[in-house]
Amino acid sequence: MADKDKKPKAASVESSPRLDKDNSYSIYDSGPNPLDIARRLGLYTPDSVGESK
Amino acid sequence: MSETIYEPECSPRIAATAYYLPAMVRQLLRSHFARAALEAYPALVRCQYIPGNRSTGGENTVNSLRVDLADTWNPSLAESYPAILIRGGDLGNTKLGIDDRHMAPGSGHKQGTRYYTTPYAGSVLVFCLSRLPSQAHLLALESAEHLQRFSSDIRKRGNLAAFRVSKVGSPKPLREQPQILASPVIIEYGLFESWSVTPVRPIISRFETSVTTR
Repeated sequence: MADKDKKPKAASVESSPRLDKDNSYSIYDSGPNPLDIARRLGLYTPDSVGESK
Repeated sequence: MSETIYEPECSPRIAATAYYLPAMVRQLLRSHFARAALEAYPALVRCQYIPGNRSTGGENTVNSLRVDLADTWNPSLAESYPAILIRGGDLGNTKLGIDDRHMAPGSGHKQGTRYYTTPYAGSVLVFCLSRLPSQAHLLALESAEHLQRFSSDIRKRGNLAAFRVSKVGSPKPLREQPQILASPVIIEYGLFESWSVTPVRPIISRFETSVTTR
């Protein structure tokens, strides 16, 4: 397949899909996924334990 | 487990932190929006927080900013805008290692003390509400800027691993009241909950003395 025929990959969106679904917000939304937060903050690496002390 | 006693170390307690963090954010925003200097923004006219104004029902009730926890929100209160409503988001736990255990830092292991650490990550949502999209957005931007300035102090005071403003959402209709525009500020935080478990009796007392001769 030629390069021009390849479809571009969808860009990864690091937003919170639960917060702005239906193009609106709800006061009862849950916020971002906690596991995504942990990944962004680097809380899942063992080295982080030493940094918290 | 009747054999052990529970000894929490110097560590943020997850319940207290997740419950009181929105209240801490509310206090910061109240003190910030109580300053009259904000009137320099044309879009923030009538967005000054006046303490006690809502409960007393004074004549400035309509013209002041409401900064409160989202628990108190009632969609039927048409006079409550502009408003900043704060609530805690989901809280999640991530696995750090096998059984959440980490190495004993010193002499504790002589008594058989086991040390544990597990990380939590959560969010605080600050909803800036207004009938005007520019006003809601500017309230959110002003809130985000103020909270980011004090993020380091909040992190130290709460003994958190991280506390940062991660996103300011563009104004969109509020689902419960579509004529109101909402602009959310998302704050992400993380903390490590640490605790230790110590046997009531020293672990050395469990050893049986026996002599094996060859």
